[in-house]
Amino acid sequence: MSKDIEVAVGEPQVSGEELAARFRQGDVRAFDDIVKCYQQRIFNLAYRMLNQYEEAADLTQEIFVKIYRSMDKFRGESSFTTWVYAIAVNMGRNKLRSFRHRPALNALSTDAPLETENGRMAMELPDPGRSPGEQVERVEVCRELEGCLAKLPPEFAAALVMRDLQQMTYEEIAAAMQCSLGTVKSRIARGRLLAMEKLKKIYHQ
Amino acid sequence: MNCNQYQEWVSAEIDGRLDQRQAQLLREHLAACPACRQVKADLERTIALIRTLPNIEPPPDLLDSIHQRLAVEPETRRVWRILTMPLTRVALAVALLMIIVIYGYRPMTSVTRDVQSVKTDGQIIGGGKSPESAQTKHANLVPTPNAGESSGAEPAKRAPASSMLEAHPLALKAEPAHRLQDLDAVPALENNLEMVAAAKMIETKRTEKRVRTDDLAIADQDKQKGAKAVSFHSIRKMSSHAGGKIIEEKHGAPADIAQEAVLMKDKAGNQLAVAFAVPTLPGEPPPAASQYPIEKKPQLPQTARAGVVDHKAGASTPDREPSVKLLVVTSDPAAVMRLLEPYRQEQIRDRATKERSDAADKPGVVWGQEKNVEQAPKHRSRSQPQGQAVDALTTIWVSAREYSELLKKIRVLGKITDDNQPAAQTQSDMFDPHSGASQSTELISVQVRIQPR
Repeated sequence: MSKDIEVAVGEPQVSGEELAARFRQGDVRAFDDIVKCYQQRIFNLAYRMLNQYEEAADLTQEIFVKIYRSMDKFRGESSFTTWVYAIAVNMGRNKLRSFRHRPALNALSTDAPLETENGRMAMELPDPGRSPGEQVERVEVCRELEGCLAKLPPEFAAALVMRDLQQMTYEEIAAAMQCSLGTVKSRIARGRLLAMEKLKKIYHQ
Repeated sequence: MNCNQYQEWVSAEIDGRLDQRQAQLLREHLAACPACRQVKADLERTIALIRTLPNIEPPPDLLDSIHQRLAVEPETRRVWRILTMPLTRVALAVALLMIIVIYGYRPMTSVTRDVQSVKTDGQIIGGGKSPESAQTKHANLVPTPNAGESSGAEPAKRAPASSMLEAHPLALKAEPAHRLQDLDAVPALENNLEMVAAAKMIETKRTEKRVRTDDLAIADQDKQKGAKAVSFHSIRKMSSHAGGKIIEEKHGAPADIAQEAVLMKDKAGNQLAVAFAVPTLPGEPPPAASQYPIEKKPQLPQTARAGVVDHKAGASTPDREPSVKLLVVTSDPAAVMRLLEPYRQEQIRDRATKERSDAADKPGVVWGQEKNVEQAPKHRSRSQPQGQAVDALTTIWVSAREYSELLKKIRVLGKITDDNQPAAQTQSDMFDPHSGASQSTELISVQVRIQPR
């Protein structure tokens, strides 16, 4: 198991374990810091799994409420980040399963801001660093990719997001998903291949 | 090893998760397999693309929203979630269905319970679930003054007595009055009669009180106030309101039973009273007679009282005789029977042909023995003494007016020998101040023998 990821909460850097310890000692405001530390990653995990901004926001709220209510169950046997991700992956998987019984998902959220190398911008705005043709192609590929991520089996999507978007190690992912390294390897590899299959038609147009 | 497995290795190789042996094998395969080389190229492009997906900013008010959730829905949301889970919903639906099946048919008023527990012969079968109903033992239906006016109507159909008061106790419908001698007729009230008053208290210790029909106005007021149900208490209250307008009458009810009656009138304006046996409430003393001032105490003939209050008791009490005994000698017994049919209260018994022929030339009968036969109808033919037989014997209940009309009709069909005049013709006008002095309020029990000519 790799060392817990350090999270930045202003200065100096505070680890999730320290925040959890403060919370257990009665510092209720430590929970706010926990939210601030993890909201970006948890929200993005949720968003990539669901591909719906509002649903992802709702799921993120539920995840943090669950974390709040379960703080007394964190024993320090794993890293706090792993524990948070375990809750998030579990709830995201459940949400996605029920979510998929609903009518078709939007391929792309229209209200979510898009971060580019030039800063946050609306998804539909052209990227000034590329030619109009490239911009159109890039937006199309991104939409296709986001859509196919949300259509992957929940475990594959979660593994892929944690590995390729959030640069977590295989060991951290295995701990968060409560499965073996071999399973994580398989899920990541299959998830990438499935995404590649979806995007291949665009690559070879 | 096939291509699929090598393609999975490609992914691990990009992340540096292959050992040297696996990496060597993969390189050798890729050198020999152009398809897998293409897959590797596409996969690297895909991974690069995924890694360039933008990081999405969460909603700025996320923390506030979380706080709101924590504040607003401490544990209730969790409970609600459990309740709305599919399996829980099914379980709740099943439970609700069971509750409806077990308890749900109707909310019963005290009067409804009492009516429900009354058998058609005037005895209580204790069907009610309340402790009061278990005590209830007696019930009667009593017609009031104008009842006799609609004597030609068909006998009422039977229906569950319990349904009478529950739909809308103050808007009941029913058939004409004289059909209400027995609770058999109660269901007929459902359709034709509008109940406008509830007002009678029959006290314990063999005492019955009846409220005059002008108490209807009081009940009408009560109805206008929105009274929805006739409860024991409301009837008692209205009875009390109607002070000075209650008469007392002998009654054969058990000492521990109080009775109530409900006054009604049909659309034609005929007033009816329905008496229900009700128990006194637990811990509550029986209502005292003095609570309901007595205006008049009519000296009714014993037979008439028996007929009004409890004709079954009259039949089973040795000292009670029918008001009128008729012997009809006729060539058309069936026609007389049809005439009596609407008023029939006790089963008509046919005699054996031989007995009939024996009795044909023996006018006059021993009434007491006939009554004994009535009490044991199953053994009648064996116990019937020879020579006393008649073709048919029945007891009917009619008003004085009906009685006189009936006599005229029967006379057309045969010869009538009546033992006495209907006693009730002489009294009971006081019950109906609206109907005039010639109206009788009481029913007369008429025992009719039909003898073939």
